[in-house]
Amino acid sequence: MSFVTKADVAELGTDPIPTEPYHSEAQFERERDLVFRRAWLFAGRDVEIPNPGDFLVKEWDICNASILVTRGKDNIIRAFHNVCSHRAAKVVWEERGNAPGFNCRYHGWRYGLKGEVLSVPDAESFFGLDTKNCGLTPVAVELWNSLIFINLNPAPEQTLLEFLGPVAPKILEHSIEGFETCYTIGGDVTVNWKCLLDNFQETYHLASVHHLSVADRSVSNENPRSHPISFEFFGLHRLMGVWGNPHRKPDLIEGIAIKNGGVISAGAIQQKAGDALIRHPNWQLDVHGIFPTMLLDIAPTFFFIHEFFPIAANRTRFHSTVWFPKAMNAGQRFSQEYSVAAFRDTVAEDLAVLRTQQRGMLSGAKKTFEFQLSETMCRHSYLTLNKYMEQAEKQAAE
Amino acid sequence: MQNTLPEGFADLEPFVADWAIATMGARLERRVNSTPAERRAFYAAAAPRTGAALEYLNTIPFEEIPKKPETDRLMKLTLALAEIALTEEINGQAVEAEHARSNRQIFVVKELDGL
Repeated sequence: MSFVTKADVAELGTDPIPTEPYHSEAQFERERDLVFRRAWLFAGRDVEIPNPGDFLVKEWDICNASILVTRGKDNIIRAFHNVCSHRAAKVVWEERGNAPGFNCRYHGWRYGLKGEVLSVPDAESFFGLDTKNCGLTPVAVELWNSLIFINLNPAPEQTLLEFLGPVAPKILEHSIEGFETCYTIGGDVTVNWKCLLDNFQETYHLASVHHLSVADRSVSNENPRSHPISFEFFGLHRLMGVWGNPHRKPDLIEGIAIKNGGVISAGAIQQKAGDALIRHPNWQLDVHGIFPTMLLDIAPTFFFIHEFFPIAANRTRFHSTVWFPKAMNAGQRFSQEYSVAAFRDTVAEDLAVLRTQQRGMLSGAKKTFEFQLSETMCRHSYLTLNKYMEQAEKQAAE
Repeated sequence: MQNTLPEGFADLEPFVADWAIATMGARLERRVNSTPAERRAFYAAAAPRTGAALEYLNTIPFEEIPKKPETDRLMKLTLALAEIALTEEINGQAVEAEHARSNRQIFVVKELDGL
């Protein structure tokens, strides 16, 4: 059984990392303009809006953007700024739903699923209003492998596939078809988005923060320090293979949940779902880090997606969505409930510590920190974020 | 006490009022606001019966379970037990008290329709 070595990650260097980017306003401003207005941003899965008229809204506070994603009567998925053409009020106030059209609450303008103006009250009292050309402002949207991405750049620098590059075929080695049931947990926390992201993409903290919940799924004599199995880097994106302990003995109810379906962090208890890819005997899951803020964690019988929405330099909204196949019986439904509750507990453990970390950095007590081998995904994120921003600054200078 | 659960599960009747809860969000809220003694009592009674409860419910087509009040109730009771298993098997009371603080922050955004 092999685990990652320092040689595997030598290309990323070993420098200490400054704390400043993880809490400063200046960095937040740079990220807004140089990252979030340029990159492809995850906006949900097509199975969340399966029927014509279905819609969902994603709020990107850092850019003051509210993005409406619709499925039209023609089954096509479109995205728009959720901003009324009249005087920029918010049109759709619900987070998701189904509707043939959308009414703006301010003056009653009505829009269709293609963003087109359906009606304007008292239109005659305008001076030459061209209702055929004042629909909702479209936003670039692309669908790949059931994942919807939007881009706030009116003319995106790359297509989605160009942006994903070689991480796309890697993700396709798994199948996320047939996973149509989901549960989302979320919160608004006083933590920088990068600190949240980093927490969910390193295994170093498993033995301590999660010493009750997850540790003995991640630690054993064979892997006493819960090292990852592998790292792979794909330009902006990254992948970590996580190991699971084959000797874990589940408790009573946990055992029942495992028996009835896949359970998160079940160690090496791998229940194949059809032709699910199993990378090697004690593989637990693959953590795909999709730049800038998305984590797509795929295991044999479920997967989950973390979304981090920066609100301020020291505040983030997160949504973590767990995807399962539809439960076919009570036992599977029970197993899903247990999994999500267990998952939520680990997030609670993380949040307790993360809040203190954010405050610690704001104190100014520490100017730098060190990433170790198991935290390489965090280092990669730091380096690629800088590179992506510097690239934009160089382009602007030319 | 009236029997509102399927036959054979009358021993769980004392827990129906407090723990047969309809949604994941409400189950989390109950967990966060429960006392150690309440959790201990519920787990002690319901955990040894969970295997049997699921075995019984598995004999019923899944979409039929919510249509009869007694099977719906038993299903929701087992789902609440899934939450409480974490407090009793994994966390312990000291850790659970601390978890409750963070769990109050984590809200259920979207959950499965129906059950």
